[in-house]
Amino acid sequence: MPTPVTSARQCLTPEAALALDEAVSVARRRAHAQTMSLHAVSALFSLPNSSLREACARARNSAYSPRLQFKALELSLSVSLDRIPAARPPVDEPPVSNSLMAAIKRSQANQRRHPENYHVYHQIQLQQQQLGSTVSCIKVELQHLILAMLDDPVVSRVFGEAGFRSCDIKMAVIRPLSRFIGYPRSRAPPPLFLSNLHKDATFGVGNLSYQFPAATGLLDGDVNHKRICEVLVKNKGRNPLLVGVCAYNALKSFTESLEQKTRSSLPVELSGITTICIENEVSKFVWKTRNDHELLKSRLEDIARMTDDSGGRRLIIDIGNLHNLTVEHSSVDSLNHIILQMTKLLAAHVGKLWLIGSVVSYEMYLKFVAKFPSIETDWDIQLLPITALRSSAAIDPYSKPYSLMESFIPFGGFFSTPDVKCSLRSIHPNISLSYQQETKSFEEVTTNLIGGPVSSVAGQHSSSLPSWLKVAELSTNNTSESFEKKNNQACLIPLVAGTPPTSHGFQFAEDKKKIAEYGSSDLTLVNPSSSLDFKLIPTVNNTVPPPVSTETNKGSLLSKLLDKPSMLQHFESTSFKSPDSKCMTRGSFDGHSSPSSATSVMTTLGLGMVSSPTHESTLKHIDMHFVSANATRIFPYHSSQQSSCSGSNSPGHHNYEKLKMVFRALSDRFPQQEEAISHISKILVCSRAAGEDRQAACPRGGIWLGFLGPDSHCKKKIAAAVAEILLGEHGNFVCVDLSSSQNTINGYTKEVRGKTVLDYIAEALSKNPFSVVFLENVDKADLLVRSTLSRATRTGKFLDSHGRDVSISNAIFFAASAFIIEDKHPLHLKEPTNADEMRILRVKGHAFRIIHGHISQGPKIVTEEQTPVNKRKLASRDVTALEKHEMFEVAKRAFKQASDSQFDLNLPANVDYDMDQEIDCYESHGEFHCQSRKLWLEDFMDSINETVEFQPFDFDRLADKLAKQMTDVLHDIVGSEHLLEIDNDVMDQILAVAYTSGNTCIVEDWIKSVLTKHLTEARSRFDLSFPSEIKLVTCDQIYAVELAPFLPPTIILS
Amino acid sequence: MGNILLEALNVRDINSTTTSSGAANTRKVLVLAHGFGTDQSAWQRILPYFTPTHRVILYDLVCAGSVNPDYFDFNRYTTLDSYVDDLLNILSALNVDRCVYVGHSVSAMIGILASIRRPDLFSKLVLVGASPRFLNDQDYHGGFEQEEIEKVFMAMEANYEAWVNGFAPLAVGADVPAAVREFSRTLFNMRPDISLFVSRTVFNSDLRGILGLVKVPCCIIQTAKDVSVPLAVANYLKNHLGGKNTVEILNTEGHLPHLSAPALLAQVLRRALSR
Repeated sequence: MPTPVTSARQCLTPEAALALDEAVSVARRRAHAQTMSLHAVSALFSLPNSSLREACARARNSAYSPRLQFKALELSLSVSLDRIPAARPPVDEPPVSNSLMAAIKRSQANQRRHPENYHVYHQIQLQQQQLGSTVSCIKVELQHLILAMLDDPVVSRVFGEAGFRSCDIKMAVIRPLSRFIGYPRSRAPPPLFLSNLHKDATFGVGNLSYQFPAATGLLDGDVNHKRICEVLVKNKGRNPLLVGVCAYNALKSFTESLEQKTRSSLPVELSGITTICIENEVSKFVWKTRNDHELLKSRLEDIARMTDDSGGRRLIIDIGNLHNLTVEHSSVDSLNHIILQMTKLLAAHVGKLWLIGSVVSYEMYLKFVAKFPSIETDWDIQLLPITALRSSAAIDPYSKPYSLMESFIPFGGFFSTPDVKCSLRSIHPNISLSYQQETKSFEEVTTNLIGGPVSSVAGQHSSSLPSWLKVAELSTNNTSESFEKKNNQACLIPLVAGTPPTSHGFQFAEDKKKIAEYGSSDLTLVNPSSSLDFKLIPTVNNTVPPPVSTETNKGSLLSKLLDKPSMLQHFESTSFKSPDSKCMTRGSFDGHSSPSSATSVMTTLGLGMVSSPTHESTLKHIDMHFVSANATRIFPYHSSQQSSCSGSNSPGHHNYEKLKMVFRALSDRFPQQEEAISHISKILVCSRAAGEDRQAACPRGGIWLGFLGPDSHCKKKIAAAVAEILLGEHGNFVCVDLSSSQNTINGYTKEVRGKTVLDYIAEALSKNPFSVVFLENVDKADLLVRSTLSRATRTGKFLDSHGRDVSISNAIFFAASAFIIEDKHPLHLKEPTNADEMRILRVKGHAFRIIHGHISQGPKIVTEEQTPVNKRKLASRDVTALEKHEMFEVAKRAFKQASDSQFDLNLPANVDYDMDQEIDCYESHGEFHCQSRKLWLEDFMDSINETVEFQPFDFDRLADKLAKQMTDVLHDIVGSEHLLEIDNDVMDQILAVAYTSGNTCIVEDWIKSVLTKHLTEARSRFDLSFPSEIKLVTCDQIYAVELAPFLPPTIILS
Repeated sequence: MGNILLEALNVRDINSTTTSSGAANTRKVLVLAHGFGTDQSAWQRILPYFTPTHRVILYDLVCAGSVNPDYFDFNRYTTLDSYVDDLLNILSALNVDRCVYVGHSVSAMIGILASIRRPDLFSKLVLVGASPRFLNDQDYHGGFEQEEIEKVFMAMEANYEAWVNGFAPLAVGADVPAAVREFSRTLFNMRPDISLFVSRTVFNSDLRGILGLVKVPCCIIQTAKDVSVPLAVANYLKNHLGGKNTVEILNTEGHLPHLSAPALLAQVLRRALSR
């Protein structure tokens, strides 16, 4: 039930009531039935000196311009207001809605908890009780009202849409607090703090008890000393050996402090303890003569006597730097004797005698232990790492407080003005209770804490107090008077003592907690999108078309075309592909070369398309089917589209003209992947055609294509070519390698640093929406990228790492992966097997060298054509370490799977322990990723428009061809009786060049020019009267190895 | 008791056993500890890479700007050991019995010390931008001269804001404005006196002698160019830490790769974790 405005007004301070009136008038103007939080927000913005507006200005996101963000806020606010339905009969004074009333109630409750105002409400309540009034009426201040309203989800959504976070605004509202600070103290008695006493006191103790579970020692608050004491009071490992570069200093400072303050609050077990330093004696003993031996001995005897005699006397033997005992010593026996003597001494006086020493490093200690293997247990040594260079006294926390204060007070609003009382209180809650009213109870507490029988508690307590208070405490006669005096003094000191004011003027526990909450909620708000991103996205497979519907419409030809084998048949029957040449089709396309003659095909590369009329028509024919088939596949829900696509009416015609163009341009450049190209081009053309017609029919944005299978290089080039062909000059090609082995984007160049891959893509897309994005190794993408991609395909929204949305409706995505399609329906992938390609791509550039040798007479008879090839094939088996590793992983996986399903008798039973461990470890890390990688890729590829399968590049064939060419050259130049042996590395390098350039012309040119030239030179250099072997090998030493494979401009002869 | 600490240091326990199903119990625990001048938000761009697979624990050092400055006890946090206490107390409060610890900068030092005290608790340390000692010494190049540091401290005292604005781009690498802004923010959030005190503590620390006590395998991650840590330091760590160590040099620059090159760091972290 809405609340009448008048009764709501009763709960508000005049300031807040004014805001409510404004809100009511806003609601009335808009003829809304109720006054809601939104109206109030709108009203608050229109108020002069609006604190909300000011808070927003400070909380705004620095990424946007302030004007823009306020504009956005205005817009989002007015849109939200517009959505509120109008009241049928316009109300004169729209009553306060439940949500706004709830906000008022919340802030009332909040203010009631606010101890600062405690006395006010206390008085009010008293008055009310006197008056017999039952309504608890707390006037809500505007600030609290704003805070409460910001909690309203409707309001925070409005702010959120404009890029504000309500928690930020809240912080900004709370932070200045100038009004707050001045207000109560000026005209009200000091607030009551009893309500906080308990909390603060327990906090102080609790805080400490977790700090030092065994906090016993207390010397100057030096942590090192404390830790040494901790060791000394232990039962086992009670003799500390300080380790560290600065250990010696720590040792000295400890012994010094012991000497100076033997009466101070050491742990009970250690009270009255003294140290005896035998460092000098030890060093003399080690470095000098036998006399010193006697000296040390007598000294130890002294110690023994001292501990025996005086009964109660407790000693710590300080042996100083252990370094002395590690040096090579002439009289090992006497040294051992000394050590033994000390061992006995220590064992005889447990609880009375301790040993302390220092060593500069652990390595040094190891040396020592190597010399005296049982020393650690004999001497009951506990190593204590020491890391601080100087004792803490050297760093005075209160040094130069003034300069610091100056430096941060002017940070407008961030830090409160140094109010003596509040700053003191906030820093040391216990002392904060020093207000007059509290003194009594405080005394009780403190005397309980300090004067109690347990000295360790006193120690804990006092360690949290600043030194000036500690002094007071240590003087032991802390009667209430002296303490009070101290406290009064304390109120004046903080500036001098340098306890700085905190960021929060009027702090008390609840408020702190609240801020902490805001802080944490802030944190979670920062990355909501990224954390959400990580839920594995379930498969949404809405792209697999229902194949049945097409059959009736389109007839049998179409349905046949729908599945791949039949399409292949069709290709072959129309002689697009000669049956005996699998990888090379360009020849048959051009129709002027025999299928086997790869040479001629390759040489015509790049010369442009020469298509005969017959092929033209065939192409056209196929185009039509492609188009129609494709239309039914991609847009099965739009049967009208189908007919327009497949028919010969103008849009369809337009399409296949375009398709033909794309197809020709692509297949021209990439003859080896003709099938893939035809697939790609038909998808592209149809998707685009469809995209022009309809806007929102398809929920996905952009065109997504999966490139599966080997031949990674060709994929990339095709993608680049598509960008060029379809988008022309205005287009933009973004190429990103998602594999983790690569440094993501072209090796982290300057402009890429600090961005994730997603940011990079998003930025490119926002700069130019007409982009082709090529995602290489999409299967190796990290989880973040994966989920973003999956989401992008589902929702058409591409989010960068900041959660910003980028439009992808005009973009084309090619997601490439080396995985091979094993089964299409449902999509099932298998691990890539393109070892050849991977090896070739890893080839580095080397220089070449020609070596001359005689053919050894004997069984080695080789037919020149086969030699290089066979050797190459052998070489491909000679895998590199990396591949070996990969193979091992595959094997392990296989083994894993086998062992999962059932016990395989064919597998060796004696798998050793190591192997098991490896697998375990693999399972926990690698397996998860590998398996999830594949599953995700299957999901992902399933969810995107189409997948295209690529054929492996036939390296063997190319190698054969090139080897033959080179042999021919050799025969031409030096005669046919000689043999050319091409080293595997050389051939790989040549292949790498041919492959990455996508053009064998370069290689052929190289053979014709460089190789011919050098073979001619070799003819004159070498004695070629006998049939001999000309070897072409690589050499690493002479040229620096270049990263990219290249064809060397010269060949070294030797 | 533990709760006070967890609350005070804003400990976040993601995918903890209590909130997830039974399957999550086996998740490895990953502790991400931020360095000087940042708070746990520095890991926010690394975090998504690990939340699907790990139980991740984040916390703020007591000196961080996001922690109530009242908790910073100037008498207590005079050496790194007190920070180690905090870390170990957090882990015990969360019932962690084994974890991988990723520590940046000063937290790397803290991790080293913690692993000496409780070797059983850590299965691996990943030290990002770590240094056993920042000051130069004979035969040791830590990157800073004592006089330089005194000047820095003077600058911090004189005008903290100006110092932050100068230091942040230097530390992050000026070519990543977003990261500089982020680092400046968290650095500026620290109360200046605390910031100064902590940096004194850090520069006053020398872990060289105790590195051999570390038996936990360590992965030392270092960027190719780091104003705070010279490259040689990574090697020094590798040679002196007592466990099995590896060094990963990130092909990027800056002392805060988790801000400036999160994807790159995440990859390396993942690799380090899987080993």
